Amino acid sequence: MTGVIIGVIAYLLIVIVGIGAYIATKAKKVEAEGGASFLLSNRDLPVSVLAVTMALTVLGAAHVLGGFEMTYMMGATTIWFSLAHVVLLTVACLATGRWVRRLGVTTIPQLMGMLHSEGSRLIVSCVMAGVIFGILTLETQGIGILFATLTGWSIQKGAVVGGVLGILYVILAGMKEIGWVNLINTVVMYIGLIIATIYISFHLPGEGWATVSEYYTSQGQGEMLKIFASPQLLLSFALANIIAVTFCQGISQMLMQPCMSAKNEDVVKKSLWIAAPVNGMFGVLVVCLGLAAKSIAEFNAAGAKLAGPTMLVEMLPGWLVAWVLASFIAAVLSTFAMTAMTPATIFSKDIYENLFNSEAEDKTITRVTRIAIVIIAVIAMCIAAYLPPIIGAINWLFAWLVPVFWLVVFGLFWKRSGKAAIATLIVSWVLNLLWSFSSLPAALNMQGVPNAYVTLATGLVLGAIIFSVMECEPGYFKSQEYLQQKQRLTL
Amino acid sequence: MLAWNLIIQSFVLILIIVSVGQLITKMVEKKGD
Repeated sequence: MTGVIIGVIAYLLIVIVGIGAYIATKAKKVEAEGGASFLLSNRDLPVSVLAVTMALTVLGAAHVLGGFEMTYMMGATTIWFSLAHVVLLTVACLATGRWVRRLGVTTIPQLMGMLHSEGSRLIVSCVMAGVIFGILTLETQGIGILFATLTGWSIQKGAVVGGVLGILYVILAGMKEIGWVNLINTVVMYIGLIIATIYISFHLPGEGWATVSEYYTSQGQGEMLKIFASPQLLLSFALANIIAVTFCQGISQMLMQPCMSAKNEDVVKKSLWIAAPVNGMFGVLVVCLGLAAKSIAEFNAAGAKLAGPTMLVEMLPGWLVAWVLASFIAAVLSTFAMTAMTPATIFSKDIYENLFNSEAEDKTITRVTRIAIVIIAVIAMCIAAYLPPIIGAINWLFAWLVPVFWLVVFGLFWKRSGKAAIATLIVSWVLNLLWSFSSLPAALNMQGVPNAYVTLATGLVLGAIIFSVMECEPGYFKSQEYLQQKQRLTL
Repeated sequence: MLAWNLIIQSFVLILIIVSVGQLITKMVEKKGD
């Protein structure tokens, strides 16, 4: 196993440091000419790099570890988790991502300030950075668990090694480094995962996949082989995921920052055709491997969390275990890099520059962002290494950003008001807290309702009512300011 | 084969989601013009 670990770390270090150092050298020339390279890659990302960066940013520990676990419990319906991310990427590439690129903003809180008020910018920057930091701790813990299950290391050791690799993934050259490392990792990841699936297919006991199908049928679990299982599961799992993932991540800085870095709006739109299959098909391969693992008695006995990883370690040759481990870690590291980069960007732009140093040069902003990335990542490593598994917090975390999605839509197309925006946010967030930490759901006999449904209702319905009754300015796309901006661009 | 069936079905679903998204965007943009 030592050989596997050395191989994986050597591959990741060569790709990350090699590409990072090369891009950092080139970026110095751009910065010398006055370009903002670190945060937004000088807004020059092409379709290929943007597409894989978007795909990998929302493909992390939940896809890898959660994918195996959910498949063990629900079967092929788990594919809806991946399809929810395809819906998210569709919304991001065709709507929100294009809007933020068109408006030339650097952060979502900055957009909130532009649309509603400086107060809304400040509270959204604090909450959004906190939510993304929460996801970062989950990713860090995910890397630790991956190392632990596939190599026998402790979770703490895995989280620290993963954290250091994750910092290197972003610290050398920022967004451009993340993008190009992602492009190479995607190719390596997919080839590895496809070879592993084919290898497992040829080494399954009995009649191969037919035996796997027979196992589920004989257990009375034939439904687990269908993507469209029971309507109840589709409503409680598929729809809940689509709502939480789309309306939270669809406006989150972690998915919007790559869009802001695109060459132009058209690049964002075209990226969908690559980003959607790259993200969506990963989970399908994990589900296939998970279904096979559960059908084999010795791996089934390992339980929901370990059946899939144990099968990979036991059935694949050493070199392929190393390849698959490197693929999984690369997938999680790409999310780690973006979730460390984006709260740091929010801090440097919306807090440091906006409140304390409005004259700051790009060089200073880059330095502040780099320092913030290291501090944020180190805190995440400490939390991830010493807290119990925290994956259960994800629904609660996602629910915080759902009202922000609707406030951006309202502000762009319908009405703008600082007071109405803050009122909507406060009511939504208080309700989200009450839904998790009080007996309110039980009192309303709605225990099974996910937090994202609650903040969707307050953000969309209550938000619409508040904006209707309060005095507001017209939406930004209807404003004179936007028309003038559009005319300038046309000229 | 089970794995193959799931891969094909998922790929078709991804294409449907993306195409529906494109269609809705085109309709909305046309209406906006």
